[in-house]
Amino acid sequence: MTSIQAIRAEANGEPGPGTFLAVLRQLRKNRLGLLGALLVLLVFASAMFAPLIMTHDPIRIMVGPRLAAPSREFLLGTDQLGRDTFSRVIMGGRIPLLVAFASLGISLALGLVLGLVAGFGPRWLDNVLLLIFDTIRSFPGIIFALAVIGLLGPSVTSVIFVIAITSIPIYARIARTQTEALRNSEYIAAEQSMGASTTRILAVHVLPNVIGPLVILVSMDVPAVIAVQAGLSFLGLGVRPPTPDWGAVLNDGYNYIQNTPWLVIAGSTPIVLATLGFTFLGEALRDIFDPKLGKDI
Amino acid sequence: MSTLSLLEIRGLDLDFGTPSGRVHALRNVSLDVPAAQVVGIVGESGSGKSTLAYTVMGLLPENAQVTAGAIVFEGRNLLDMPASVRQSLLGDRLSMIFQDPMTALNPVRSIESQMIDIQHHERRSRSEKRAAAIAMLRRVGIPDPDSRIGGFPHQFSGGMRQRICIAMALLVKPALLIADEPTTALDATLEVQIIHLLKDLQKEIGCAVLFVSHHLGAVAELCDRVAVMYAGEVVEQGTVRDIFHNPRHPYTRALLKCDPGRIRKSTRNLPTIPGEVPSLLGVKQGCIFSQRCPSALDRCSQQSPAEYRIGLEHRARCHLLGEEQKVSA
Amino acid sequence: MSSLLRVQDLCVRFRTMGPLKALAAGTKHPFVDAVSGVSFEIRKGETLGLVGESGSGKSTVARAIMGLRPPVSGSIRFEGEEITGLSAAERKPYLRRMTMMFQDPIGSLSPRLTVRSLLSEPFRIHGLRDRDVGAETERLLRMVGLPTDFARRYPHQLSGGQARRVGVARALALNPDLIIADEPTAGLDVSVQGEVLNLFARLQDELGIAILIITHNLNVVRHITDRMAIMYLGRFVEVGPTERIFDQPRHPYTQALLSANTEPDPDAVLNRIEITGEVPSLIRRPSGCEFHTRCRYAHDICSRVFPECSASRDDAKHRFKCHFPLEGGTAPSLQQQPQVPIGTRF
Repeated sequence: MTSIQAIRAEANGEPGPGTFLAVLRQLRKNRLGLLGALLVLLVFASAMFAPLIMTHDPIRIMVGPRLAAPSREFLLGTDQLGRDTFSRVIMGGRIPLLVAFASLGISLALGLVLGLVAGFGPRWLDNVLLLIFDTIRSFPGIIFALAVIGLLGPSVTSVIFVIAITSIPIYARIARTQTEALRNSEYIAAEQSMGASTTRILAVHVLPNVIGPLVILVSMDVPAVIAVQAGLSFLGLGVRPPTPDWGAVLNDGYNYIQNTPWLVIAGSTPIVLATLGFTFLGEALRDIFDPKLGKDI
Repeated sequence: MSTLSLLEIRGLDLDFGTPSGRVHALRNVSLDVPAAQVVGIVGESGSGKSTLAYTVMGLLPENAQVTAGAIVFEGRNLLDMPASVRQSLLGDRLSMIFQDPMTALNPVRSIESQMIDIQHHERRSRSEKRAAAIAMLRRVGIPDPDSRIGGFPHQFSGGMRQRICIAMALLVKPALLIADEPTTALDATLEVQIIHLLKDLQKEIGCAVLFVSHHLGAVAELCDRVAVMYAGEVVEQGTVRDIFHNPRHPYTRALLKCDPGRIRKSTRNLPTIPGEVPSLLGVKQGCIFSQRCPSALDRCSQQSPAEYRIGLEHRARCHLLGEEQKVSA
Repeated sequence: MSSLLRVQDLCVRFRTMGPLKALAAGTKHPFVDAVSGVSFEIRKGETLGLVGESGSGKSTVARAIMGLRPPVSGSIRFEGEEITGLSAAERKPYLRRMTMMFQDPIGSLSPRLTVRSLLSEPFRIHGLRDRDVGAETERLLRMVGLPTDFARRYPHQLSGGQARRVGVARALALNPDLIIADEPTAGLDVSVQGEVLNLFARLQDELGIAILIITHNLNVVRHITDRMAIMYLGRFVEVGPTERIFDQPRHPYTQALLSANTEPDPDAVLNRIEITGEVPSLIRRPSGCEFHTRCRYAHDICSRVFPECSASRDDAKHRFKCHFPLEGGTAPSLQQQPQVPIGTRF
């Protein structure tokens, strides 16, 4: 009766649902995860309180020194138009975070719903949805992005749209697989035998068991989205100038790299920090919630 | 007596490290398995009986730690051995049957290749190994083994798979077979078949068997000696007749009373053991069964009972036995 | 006592392969009948045991009754009203009056809900919002003998026996007339099995609920059921009062099942009737009497002719399907004539 698995499960101390404090406690033991959480917090706070932190107007072109090195007046120097780089970097975190959260939020919500429907619905619907998911996934991401932005014009909205569309099938597929595994479990049959409606079963009994791993995956996808957004801005396909943005700062720095290294450093450091922060946090959350869930789903 | 034993477990303590503290899964476990005998370990869930079997095999999870004791097999302490030496004993002198025949076999390899692989300790040609495998399959009652040996695990039913597992475990002619609840996942009619098969094969091969089960009926039919485990301790051990005819520990008595197979008369009120198995976290004081014991004394909750010898091989850990011996002395 | 649930000629069919695959393979009949021609009735306050090995279709019968697995033919009547072929909305009122408990005590409880939420599920599903959920939870927990502070626990924090009690409490929430319990003692230790069975017995005495117990464990059936039915390959082979079947089994399969109980006594002299082999596949049902491949008393006729239902001479409620039924637990004589069927069904 007692199998070694039971002991293992007990010994792994898989936390129960609703044990937020237990997660925090575990996170405290995971150094890298804690570092990630701090970095994420830092990036968030700087974007949120950007107007309070920044020292100059990020889009005001000043008559002072251009491409200046860091000084007391300009903490990270100035760019080719004499704008304060520090203020641009602080303010420039808002767009990547907005893009990341809007696009991943949309794709998580839609992916979850589609995945639940595919996993729980009739077989033919499952097949149709899978066909659609696979069709979308078969487009090379960057080509798809270029095509869509070519059609809609470069803007934050089109970037969000592109990322959302390409991420939906990934989350939907994972949600579908998880739902399908749960579908035949006894507690679902027990709910059905009590007369629970399908909506209720999906919302109350399936969703909470599916959403955990997905949220972890989303948090690990945030850096990729930030990188894609910065990449598109770098290519001139993201936000329009003079809006401050990490990718845009990086692009400016690339153009003037022979004059000064500071712009490149200022533009890339926040991207690196945000990427590392979300990756560490995501991995820590994955280890805490589901030791079995590999990165390679 | 101890010189004759094939396997001697002496004062074994084992902990599992968990986020909420150390779980003392085995405490001061001592057990002898004489050569060519069947020793049963009975207990309920959480008694540590499977953990004990896995400890002997060395198949414990990483967070397990043996803190004291010795496991002496054929005169050598398994716990002092280098890992490679210990590993070479597995599938040679020691082999194991698991609870779930559905997952104990590799699903993507044929029975034939799995059965040939398991004989890697022997220096024989592949065709000889294959012939030995077929003979063994025939012996455990697989119909038409010559053609079915090429099959894959999913092509066999649960009972057949457990037979295959037994064939694989005994193919290497081990000195000790460890069977962890081999009949739990099977129907009653199959359980009886498997028990008889094990018994016959054990006599033929002359190996010793450590049979772990929660099923009292199966243990009574198959075993020569029995150890009763409760919450990580062996509370009573002796010959099968000692245990089933003259149980001395209150837990053994309660357990035997609960078995519905013993209750002949139809009743609407079956006996139970009230209470729950205690948590094994942290240090325990006194007798581990004292909270549920119907005849607990004051000292039972404070003082850990010593092991009292009742018969030649019959021993139990209970303060009540100490009281009796005092009176008679 | 009037009939609460009446099942007649129930057949449940499973697809063995998809329609396209069947077409490609040229299979005309890509189905197996997991349950075939099963008829029985349960009266108010009665306990019926359904016994069989795995694959005998006993759980499928329960799922068909609950509407989880639509039958291909046959009728299921609850208090005289037909409940097969109902839509989910039409079925819902019946699901208040009969509840099912599933095998896995912990796995049948939704893992992210507390015991309190689990016990209020039935009220929410059936739109009974006016009930005081807190008070109901306490009442139910007390009824099954669990401390009321268990309401805050999650399923994984319960032991098997405790989870089973929560399952019983949930089944009792809406005061049903019938509880279907699929292997209520599976996965429980012997010391806890008794507790659960005693709980069933007590609830039945107090509340007069009818219970259908599905199990492979004959020891469970013996102490708690009034009548029992033995299933083999989706059909009933013997039905009758429990005591009587234990005393005088008529079908050789029943006899073999009864003697397959291991005896917790090393000196017990067992004249065991061991059945050889395993349950045949449903895809290749044996001809004639389906048990003939494993039956020690089988004759020629058994492999050719399907035995009709016959009744015991002295107890019409004890029925069985066998050409050579056992007399007083002993082997039938070879000279014995095949039973004359009485032409009735179970």
